[in-house]
Amino acid sequence: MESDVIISSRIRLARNIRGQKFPHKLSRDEAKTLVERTLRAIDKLGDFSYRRLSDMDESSRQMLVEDNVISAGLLSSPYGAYARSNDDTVTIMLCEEDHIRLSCILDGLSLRKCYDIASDIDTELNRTLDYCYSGNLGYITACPSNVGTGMRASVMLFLPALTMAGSIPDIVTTLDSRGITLRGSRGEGSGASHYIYQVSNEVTLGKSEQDLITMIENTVLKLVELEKSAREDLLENNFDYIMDKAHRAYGILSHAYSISSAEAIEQLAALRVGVVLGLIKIKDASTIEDITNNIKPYHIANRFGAKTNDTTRDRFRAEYLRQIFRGTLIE
Amino acid sequence: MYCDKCGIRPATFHSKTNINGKVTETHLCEECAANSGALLSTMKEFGEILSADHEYGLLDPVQDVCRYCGTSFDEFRSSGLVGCEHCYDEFSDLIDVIRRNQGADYHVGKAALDRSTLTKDERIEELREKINQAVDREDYEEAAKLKKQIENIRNGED
Repeated sequence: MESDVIISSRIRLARNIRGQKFPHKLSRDEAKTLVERTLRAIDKLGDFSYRRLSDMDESSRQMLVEDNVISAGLLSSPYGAYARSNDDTVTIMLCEEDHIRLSCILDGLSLRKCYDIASDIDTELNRTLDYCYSGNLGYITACPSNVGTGMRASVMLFLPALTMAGSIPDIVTTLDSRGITLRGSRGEGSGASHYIYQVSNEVTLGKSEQDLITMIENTVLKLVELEKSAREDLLENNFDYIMDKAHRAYGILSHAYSISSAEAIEQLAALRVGVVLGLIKIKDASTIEDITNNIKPYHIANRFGAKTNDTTRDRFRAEYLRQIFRGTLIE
Repeated sequence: MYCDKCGIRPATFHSKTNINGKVTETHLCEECAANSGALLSTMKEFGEILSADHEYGLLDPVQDVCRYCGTSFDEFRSSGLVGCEHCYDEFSDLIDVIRRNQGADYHVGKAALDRSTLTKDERIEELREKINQAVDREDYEEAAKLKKQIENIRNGED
C-alpha cells in the first residue's frame, strides 16, 4: 500500500564557493572558470560523468528538463553544466541559482539514505572547494530562503483519493502553518490532473538536517494514512465512477488517433488510479511513470523526428501510446 | 503574545502602520491575519514577501548597495536573490527578514569542513587554485603571496 502512495524521496543541498559572486551575477567567462574548477573537483569523486549545456543541442537540453534531471532554471544560466553519478541517483547542477545544487533521488521513503549519500559527496567536494559558510547562518545561498542547512528534503506522493475528495487545499493550509510545503510536482500545474505532489520543508534554518527529515517523514506517513482511508471511501462510495474512468482512460490511450500532452498525462493518471486500486489489470503497469515522461513534447519530437508541429506531434504521441497499450488489457 | 483580535491564538503576524506620525502596532494570529487579508505566508517568493514587508512598513526603506558585488537592496527585493556572500552583512535589514520568514537566525546542523583539517597536499592544491584565480584577474601580487605560502607549507613552516 505504502509503495502505491510514496513514489520517491529526494535530498537537495545548495552550496556556494567562497569568494565568488552568485551565478546570476557572473559573466559568462567568470561562470565558465567557476564551472570548470568545480568539474575538476567532481572529477576526483570518480563515478560521475558530466556535460556542459553549451555542448548540447536545444532538444537534448529540453529532454533533460522533461526527465527532471536538471531544472528549467539551469537553461538560463550564464554557463550551466551538470554531473550525474553512473547509477543515476545523484545529480549535481552547476551554476543554477547556486554554484552547486547536489541532489540524490531514491525510490520510496528513503530520505535518510538520500541524505547520507548526498552528504558524503558534499563533504568530499568540500575538501577541494572552500564553501561559503558562516557560524551563524550556516551554508550561505543566493536566496535567503535556503540559508542554514541549504537542504530541501522532498517526497513525491501519488494522492488521487485525497485529490478527488477535495481535501488537498485544507492539507496545504495545515502543513503551511508548520513550515511544510505540499504542491503539485514537476511544475505541471496544481497536480490535480495527475495526482502527483511533492511534500518538502519550507524552513532551512534553525533546525538540523535530521530534524527536518524527521518532520517530513512524519508528514509523509500521516499523508499515507489519510490517502489510504480516502481510497477506501472512494471505492465504497464511487466505485462505478472510478471503474469507468480507468477503463475509459485505457480506451483512449489504446485507440486515440491524436492526443495532446495534457490529455495524455490526465488519462495516464486515471489509468494509474485504476491499476493501483486493483480495478483494471494491464501488462507492464509499472512503466506508466516512464511513459508519462516519454509523451512530453521534446521526447515525442525526438522519437519521431525533430521537425514536428503541435498537430503532428499529437498524432505521433497517440501512435506511441497505441503501440504501448493496445492489447495489454488483461480481462 | 496573543492575537489582538481573537485573543486566543498566539500572534505570529506583526505589522506597524504610521499615519501622520501616529504609529499603530498590530499583532495577529495566522487565522485572523488571513481573514483581514494581511497574511503573507502564502507568498512563497522571498522577493514578494520583502516587497510586502515594505508595504506594511515592517522595514525601513534601504538604499544600500553591496560594496562587493554591486547588488542593490531594491534589486534583491524584486528578485529575491542576493548577489554574493557579503550581501548578508551589507544589508542590515536582511537578518530581520530571515528571522521572520525562517523563524530562526542561527544555524543548527552540518558544518562546512574546517580548512585546517586539510592534508598538506590538499592545502597546496587549494592555494594553487587560488593562484590561478589571482592570475586570471591579473593580481600578480596576490599570486606571489600565495606562492610563498605554498613554499612555507612545503618547508614545514606553516
